Amino acid sequence: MNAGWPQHRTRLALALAALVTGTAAAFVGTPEPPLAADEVAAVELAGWLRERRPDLTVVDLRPPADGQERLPTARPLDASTPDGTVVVYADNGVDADTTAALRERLGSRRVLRLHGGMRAWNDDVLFPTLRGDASAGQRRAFEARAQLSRYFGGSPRRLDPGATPARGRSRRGC
Amino acid sequence: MFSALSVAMLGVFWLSRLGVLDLAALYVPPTYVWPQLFGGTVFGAGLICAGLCPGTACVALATGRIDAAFVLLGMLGGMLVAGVLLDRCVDFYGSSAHGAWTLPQLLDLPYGVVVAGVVGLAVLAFVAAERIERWAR
Repeated sequence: MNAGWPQHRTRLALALAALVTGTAAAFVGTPEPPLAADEVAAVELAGWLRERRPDLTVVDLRPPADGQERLPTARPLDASTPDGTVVVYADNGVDADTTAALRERLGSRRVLRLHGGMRAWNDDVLFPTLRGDASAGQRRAFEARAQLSRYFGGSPRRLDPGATPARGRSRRGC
Repeated sequence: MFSALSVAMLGVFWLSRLGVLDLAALYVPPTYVWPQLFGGTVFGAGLICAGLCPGTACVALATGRIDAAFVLLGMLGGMLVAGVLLDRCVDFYGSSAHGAWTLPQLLDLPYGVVVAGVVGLAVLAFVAAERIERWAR
């Protein structure tokens, strides 16, 4: 330890750093990174589709395949894509470069990408999960998600944490 | 251990928030309330008696401390006994399962608020421990 910098000052500095970053975490709330300006969350898009927003077009960027599930009203990208807001999606996310190229191609239309793609649609909209040991507040908040899920033909899931597979003899992690 | 926990908690929170770490890719060990409370109590009692946790015991042994050798022997002996007795207490070992259960889920609070609470608690505990140590000298 440097003689000019006493140990208690180092401890104080570390404690202050922890308190500042901890307090900032409380204000930020969630560890999820904020959505980019050109991204839309699956639940928000579901709300727009449910409202039947007239200027909304959903475009599936995936190559066509047999038996492929699509988002409601989704269509492939073609020259007849109408004006207004265009939400593009793929299996996971669509990268910013692809969106920028589409923006050039589609001209005046507002192009957004679905955050998390089809995976987020399935997890957050069609098959949201509620834990069996959820609090009353969590159950109330889940009910709105469950209604949205049923509206789009999904099925909300209930996870019974006690029904996890038998405990293994070896464990992962430290 | 509490300092390691606080650093890890802050690191995971902010690395995820900045888009460097994918939280979904992290493995959350399942919770078994009563077996883990029992194991945690035994572990804590051993830590208080020895003044060393497993990691620091290895380091202490490497520096030539004899007491660390006894701590490690005790730890290895405990593991052996637990392994031998496991078949007799397998029901307890797998009881009160809650799956991957986290504090924000349990407390129904935002993740960041839980991080702030744990860090604040850790700092308070460090200040209190330091005062107790000073008083005891």
